[in-house]
Amino acid sequence: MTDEIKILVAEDEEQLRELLQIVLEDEGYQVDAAKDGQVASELMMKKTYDVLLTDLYMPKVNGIELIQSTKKNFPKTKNILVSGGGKELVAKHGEKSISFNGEIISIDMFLKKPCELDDILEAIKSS
Amino acid sequence: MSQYKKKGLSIVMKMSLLAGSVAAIASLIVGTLIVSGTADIVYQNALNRLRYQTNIKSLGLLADIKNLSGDAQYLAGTPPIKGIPRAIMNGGVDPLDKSDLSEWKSRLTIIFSELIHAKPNYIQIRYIGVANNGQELIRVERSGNKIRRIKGESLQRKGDTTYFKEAVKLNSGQVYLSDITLNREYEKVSEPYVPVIRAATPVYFNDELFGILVINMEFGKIFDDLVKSTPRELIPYVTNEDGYFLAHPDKSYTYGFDLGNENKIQTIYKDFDLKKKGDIRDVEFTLESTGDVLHVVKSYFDPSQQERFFAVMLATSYENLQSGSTSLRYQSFGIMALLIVVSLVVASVLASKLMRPLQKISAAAKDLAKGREILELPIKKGDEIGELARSFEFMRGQLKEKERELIISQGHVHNANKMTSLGEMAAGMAHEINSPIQAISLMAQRVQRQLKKGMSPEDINTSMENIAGSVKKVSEIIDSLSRVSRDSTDDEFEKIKIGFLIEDVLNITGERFKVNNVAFDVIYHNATEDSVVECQRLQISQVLINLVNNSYDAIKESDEKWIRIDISISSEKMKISVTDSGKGIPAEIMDKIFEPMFTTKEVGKGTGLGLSISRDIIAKHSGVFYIEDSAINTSFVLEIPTSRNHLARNV
Repeated sequence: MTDEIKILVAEDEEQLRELLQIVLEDEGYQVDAAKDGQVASELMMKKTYDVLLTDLYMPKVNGIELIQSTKKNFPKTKNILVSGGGKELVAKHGEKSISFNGEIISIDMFLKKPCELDDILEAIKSS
Repeated sequence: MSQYKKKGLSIVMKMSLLAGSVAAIASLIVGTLIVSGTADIVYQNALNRLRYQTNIKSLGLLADIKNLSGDAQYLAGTPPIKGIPRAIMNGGVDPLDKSDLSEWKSRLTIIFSELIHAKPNYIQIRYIGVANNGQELIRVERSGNKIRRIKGESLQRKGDTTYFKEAVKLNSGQVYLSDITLNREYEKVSEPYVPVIRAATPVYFNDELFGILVINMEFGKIFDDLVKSTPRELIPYVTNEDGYFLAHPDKSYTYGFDLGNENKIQTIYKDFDLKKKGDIRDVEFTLESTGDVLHVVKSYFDPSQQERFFAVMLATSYENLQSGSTSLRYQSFGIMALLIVVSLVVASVLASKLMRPLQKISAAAKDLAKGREILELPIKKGDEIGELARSFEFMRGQLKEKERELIISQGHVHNANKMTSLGEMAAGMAHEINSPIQAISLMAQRVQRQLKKGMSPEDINTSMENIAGSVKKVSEIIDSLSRVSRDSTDDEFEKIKIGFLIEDVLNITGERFKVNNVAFDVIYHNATEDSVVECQRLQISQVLINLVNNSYDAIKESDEKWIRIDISISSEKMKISVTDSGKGIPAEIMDKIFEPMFTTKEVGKGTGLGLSISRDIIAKHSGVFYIEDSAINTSFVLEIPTSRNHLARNV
């Protein structure tokens, strides 16, 4: 039923990455997974994704950098940031505007880790 | 401390040098004053010596001439002098004692011979009659070693000679003294050249002039002696009134007036006019070009003709006149050098004696720093050193007190420190825990959803196992946290796998590195994570976490960010080094880095206890903890024995 929707998951934690892929595939989405921001960027060059679901802290290229390059290069791709937060990040669950290192960044959705599967699915659907 | 050792001089050296310089300056001033103050006196003394010498020589010559004159007067009084004219006047026989003329002549010959024999410088004595133009009557002379009487035809007429003409003018008892000239025979200078002076006195018989008595005295030996006896630095000359040399160190310059050359004193001292100042006995002439001084004593030798003189002279160079003050100067410099050396020695002895208690205190300070027992200090001394020693003792007491306080408070600070690190790590850890919790949550919701769709029991089982795995991960992280927050100082030593130590480190710090993009590697050399080491697990983990955290703090702002743990193990010891991309520890803080309370971090960021406590922990493990200073990057190394038994055996 949602054949057309392609999702890219960027998450460095292997177990979580695989799990996200499985649960989203269960819902009928076409899902690719990347272990860090750099791999994610490479995948986006090859394929057009409808949604980017990314962790914040990852090796090489972090989630914010990934979102910013996505907004610039692939404006049609929706971005969802999932993070437990950190010193640099000021954000509230379910909001569209976050502050990272004092810089205000608008994204499509911020989800506070740990979050419900329903939250993720809703965020994807609302896009 | 050691880097200051080579710089600068010791106080002993400084004091010695100071004393030496003071002595040098003082003796230089005193020496200069003495030398300059006495230079004139010394010069005058040298001049006086010159004058004295000249006068002595002049007096010597005059004495010889006076003796000659006396001898002539004496001879004139001997009986044959009157006997001969008496015999002649009376037809050949002396009416007084019947002696004939030849007997009187023989007697006079004997007297003349004896006198010549007695006086080595007398070369000829004659009795000359005024008759027949000065016919020689008796002539006795020295000829080589012999003394002989000249007779007959060899007797000459001397009426034309100066001495004859002058002597006949005199009264009885007066003596004419001739100039000193080379001896002549038959109007010619006879060879070898013999300088001669003639003393001639008239002989009167019955108030009529009968003849003259003449003694020829040779001056050659006298002048030779005069030249020889002159001190080397003085040059002796004797000249006649015209300045012709009678005596000269080089004989070829003498008797120019007889030999037909013009060697005179005026050839050396050009403007010197010997006759002009004729009325003054002592004349001094200074050669302006060189400062050489010529002292002249005009020696008036003939009492009958008081204007006649010969001149005795001594010349000396300016350098010679100054040599006294020069040698005085050398002496002064010698004494000065001696003074400096003596004061250096005395000062260094005194200074080192003075410094000994200071060195003792300094040694005590070092001992104290190293925690050794310190020697007794000179606290009873009444001077400043005693005061210093007492201050030092006081400081030591205070230090001990502070040390005790520190030991007590260290425990508290240690815990506080741990809490600070924990606070810093908490965010990272929360983040790390979030991932497994997210996984658990997703897994659980997935099971819920899939159950509605008819999930197979195998699928459910797999999901549940995943959940259990994630829960275990969370509890491990919490374990690590609770472990490091516990005081593990008195834990038992246990055999544990190195992998566990590394896991502790990773559990606590791993997430931070990921978050901040720090590359973190663990490399096993000659070791695996299953290699076993006997230690207090948490204490060693704590050291490693502390090192890794330090590394993180040091490099988090740099462009190049990496931390590497290298592990190697041998049968005896385990070596772990923590290296980061930092560029090493600056040499100036290298010594201080292990001291308690030392920190380069901002106020509030670190307690400065980390490395100090780490060192204590490693020491308790009988290991060593150091900075690998040969490495390009910052590298801390700890080595501990793999087994306590092994250690006990070796000890």
